[in-house]
Amino acid sequence: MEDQMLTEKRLFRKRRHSILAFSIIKRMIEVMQPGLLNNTTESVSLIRDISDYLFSAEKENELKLQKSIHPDLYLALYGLKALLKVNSLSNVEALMRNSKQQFGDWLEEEMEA
Amino acid sequence: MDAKEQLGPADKKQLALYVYHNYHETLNFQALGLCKRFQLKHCWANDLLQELYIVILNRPEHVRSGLSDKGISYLTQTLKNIAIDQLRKAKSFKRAEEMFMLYAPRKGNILYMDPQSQQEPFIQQLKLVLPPDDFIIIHFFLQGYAYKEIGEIINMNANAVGVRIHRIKNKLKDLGYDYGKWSK
Repeated sequence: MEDQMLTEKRLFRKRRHSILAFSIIKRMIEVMQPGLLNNTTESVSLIRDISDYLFSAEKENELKLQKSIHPDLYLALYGLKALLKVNSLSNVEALMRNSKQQFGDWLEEEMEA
Repeated sequence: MDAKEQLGPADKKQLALYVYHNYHETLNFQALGLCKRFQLKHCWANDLLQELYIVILNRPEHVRSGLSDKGISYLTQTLKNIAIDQLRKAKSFKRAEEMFMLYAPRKGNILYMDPQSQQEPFIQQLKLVLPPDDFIIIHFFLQGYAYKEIGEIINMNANAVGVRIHRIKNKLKDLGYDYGKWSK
C-alpha cells in the first residue's frame, strides 16, 4: 500500500494533469466548479494546485488553494485529502464504490419502508 | 417549483435517486471533510449522509426547490447544518453528563448514570434556583452551544460567557444540590 501511495505521489508530481484521470476527482470538479475543466491557463494552474494540495503536506498550498477555489469544492478535497493520508487514490476509489453500493442498498430499503 | 407543492412517493424516490446518482461521492467527501473539520470520527460521515437522505425523503418539496435554486450548494449547506446539529447534541450530552457528575450523589441511585433522560427535570430545577439571566446562559450551554454562539445570542463577549458559566457552576456547587430533591 505504501509503495502504491509513493508511486502515485511521484506520478502526480511528474504528470500533474493525470489527476483528472481519476473519475472521483473529475466528477467532484464537474459538479462544483466545472469551469476548472476548461483548458485555460488559469484552470490548468488551479488543477496543478489541487494536485499539489492533495499530495503534499505543505500548509502554503492549503491557504493558496482555499482562496482560489469554491469553498464547497475545497471541503470535498479536504475530506479526500484526509483519506489519502492512509490510502492510495486507487484504493479510495474502490472504497467509495463499495460505500456507494452499501448506501444504495440502504436507500432502497428506506424508500420501500 | 413551489416549495409548498406536495410531492408523491414516486417523486420522493426520484429525487433521492437523483441525488444518489449525481452527487453521492461528492457529498461523501464533504461529509468526511466536515468530520475532520469538527474533529468527529470518520465513521460519523455515514451518519451525516444518512441524515441527509432522510431529510430528502421527509422534506422533498424544500430540497427540490433548494436544489433548483442553488444546486449542490444547497445539499452541502444542509449537510453542514446536520453536522453542527450532531456536534451540538454530542456536546450537550457531554456537558449534561459532566454537570451530573458534579452535582449528583454517586451513592444509592443509579439514575445518575443516565444523564440524557434526566436532563429535562435537571433543567427545570435549574430554572427554579438560578436567576433568569444565569438560567438562559446555562440552558444554551447545556444544549451544546459554543461560548461564541451564546455570546452572539445574548449580545455578550464569548470570554464573558465563559466566566459567567464558571461562576454559575460554582454557584450551583454552593447550593449543595440534593439529587433526590429534583429527580422526583
